[in-house]
Amino acid sequence: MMFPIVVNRGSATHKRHMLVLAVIVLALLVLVAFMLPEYQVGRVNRLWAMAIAIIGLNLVLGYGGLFALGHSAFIGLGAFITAWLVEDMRFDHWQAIPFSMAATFAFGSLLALPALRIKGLYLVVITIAVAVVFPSLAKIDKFGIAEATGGANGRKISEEVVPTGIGKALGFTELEAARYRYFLILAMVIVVVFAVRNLLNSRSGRAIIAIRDNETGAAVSGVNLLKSKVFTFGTSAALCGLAGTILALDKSFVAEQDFLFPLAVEMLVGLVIGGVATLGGAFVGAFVIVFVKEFSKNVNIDLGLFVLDGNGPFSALIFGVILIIVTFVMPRGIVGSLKPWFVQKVYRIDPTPPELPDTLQRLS
Amino acid sequence: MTLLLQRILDGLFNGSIYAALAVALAISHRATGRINLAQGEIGLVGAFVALALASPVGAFVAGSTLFAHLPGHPFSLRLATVVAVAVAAVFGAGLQAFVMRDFADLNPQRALNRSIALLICVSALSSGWWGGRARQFGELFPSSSRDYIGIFGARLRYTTIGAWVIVLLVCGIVHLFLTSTRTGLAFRALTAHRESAELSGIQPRRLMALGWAISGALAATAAALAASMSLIDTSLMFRTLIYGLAAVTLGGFDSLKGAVFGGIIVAQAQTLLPGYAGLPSEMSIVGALIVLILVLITRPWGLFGHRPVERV
Repeated sequence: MMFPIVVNRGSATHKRHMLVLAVIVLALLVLVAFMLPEYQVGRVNRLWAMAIAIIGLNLVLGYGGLFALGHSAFIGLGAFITAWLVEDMRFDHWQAIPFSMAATFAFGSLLALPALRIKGLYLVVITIAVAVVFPSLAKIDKFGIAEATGGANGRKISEEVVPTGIGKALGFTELEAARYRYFLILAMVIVVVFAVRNLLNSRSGRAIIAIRDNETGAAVSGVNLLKSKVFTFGTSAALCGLAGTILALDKSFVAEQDFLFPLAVEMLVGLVIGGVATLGGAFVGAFVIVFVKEFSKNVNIDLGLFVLDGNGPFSALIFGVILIIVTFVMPRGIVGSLKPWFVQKVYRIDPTPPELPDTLQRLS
Repeated sequence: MTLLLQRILDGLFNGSIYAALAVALAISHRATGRINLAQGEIGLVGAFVALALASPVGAFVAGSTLFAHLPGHPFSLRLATVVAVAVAAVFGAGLQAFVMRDFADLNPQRALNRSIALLICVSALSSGWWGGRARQFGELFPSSSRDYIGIFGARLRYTTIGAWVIVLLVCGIVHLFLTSTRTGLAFRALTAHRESAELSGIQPRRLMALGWAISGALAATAAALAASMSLIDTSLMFRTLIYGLAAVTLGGFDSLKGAVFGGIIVAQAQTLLPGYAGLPSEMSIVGALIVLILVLITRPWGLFGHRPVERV
């Protein structure tokens, strides 16, 4: 086989390759679920949720070019709404998904309105403030908020997502609930990836990117800035809301201290490590952050005067160092840096040349 | 009426902290054209250094026990704070010169990433040294219950006056430096147009480090003031940073005057809005946030900032 492999977009070879790739990836993902012990599967579930959230952040920050850092608030909102719907409103688990996504979409759109006027640094400041405010808002003892969110102690979702119906028929037992959830989450991840990919190739997706590249230019070319920015922020928030729902239902527990500003920083670190404005980067980034967090949990540095607790500062330090190194040596992130090499040396998809019109075909 | 006046006067103290931090943010922004989110943490390191120097061992090492017997009890803490402000200046300049040397050349997105990276690194390292518990910082100004000036029945505390004297003094020095020295002129030239400044022989690296040194000193002043009011812990300056950012944003990133006014306005919004809207104290930041959003929607470049010219 000759490298690089070059195929034409949409050709039979291209389609065959994609099919083979999809089968291999799916097989690997299924294999992962059954190879790992049950408690490790729970961590992979968290990885999926973070990947969805990072894709959401990527929409605004990478593709939209809007500096928003408040996405931990959207994740938290999604999680709290899920807990409230399932616990107080007696919704089914899956029913919580559209409602939490709709609510976060609305909240995100609301934040987009100042973003129409406020740009760059100013937007960073406002979104950081939102991320910082959110946890304390989630536990205030007014308007029944603290009862709905569980306040500072957090809230347990008494009904876990356990295998029922088809899940039981497929042989999942109650003891393998996390593994069962893995497949549900995986299905959602696949839907999200394809939805976002198609969105970015669609008219509205190109409008988002056009605004990033030149806002005035895009507006002059007929892009509706208001609609497009509201849509970007809303979709991004809705994806984070979905991630929040997944996190809440997977752990069956929500607490405001899980949605502090460091979560927003983690998402940014994941996005930057994986590669800004790449879809695959979200998964690489999510893997790195979940791995680093799990790794550093067991580390406890104690040098007498200098003590780093594995749960908080130590992982933050690792994230910070990684982020500094990445911005120095690999500013486009792992996926963003490897992509040109991959395209040049391994596998390239060329655009299919257009069919020649009949008249020309007769000539040749 | 007295209550209103009292609340305004109480808000003034926080205003001085936010003003100092906002000016620090504005100066480092002028130096590198990028926002330095680690500004508060640099100041916090300064405040912890002050605390360490003022402790018996630190005072002994620094030789400040020589002064400890002088009248006016917390003299050593004040001296330690002055020394620590200088340490923070060196720390800021060092960070600029080594870790953030290409900060001004990065595109905004990467600069933001770098800035956040610095924030979490410095914050994690300082919680390694000083984390765990909140500590007593001590008083920089007389702050017993009798140390106040009565104004129409409201109390203007000495701490507030002292804080503002310090902050205005430092800001005044910075302003004088920028407007009437040759280096200050070079600094302003660098801010106005980097390329032209370099062509006329100005060395940007040194001036950027200098800018970060000044802002480090200002941030340490803010941190020491904030710590003297309550306890000092490793999240103190992150909380303050949010208000400082709001203040500098309100004033416009390129204006020192705006930063001071921004600090006052943010502090007043923080005290007055929750007080009168009957909201819990956690909501105080929401008050500041609302004011910020309202101002920015009408004037996206801040109250005192310059409207950016956009070319297509």
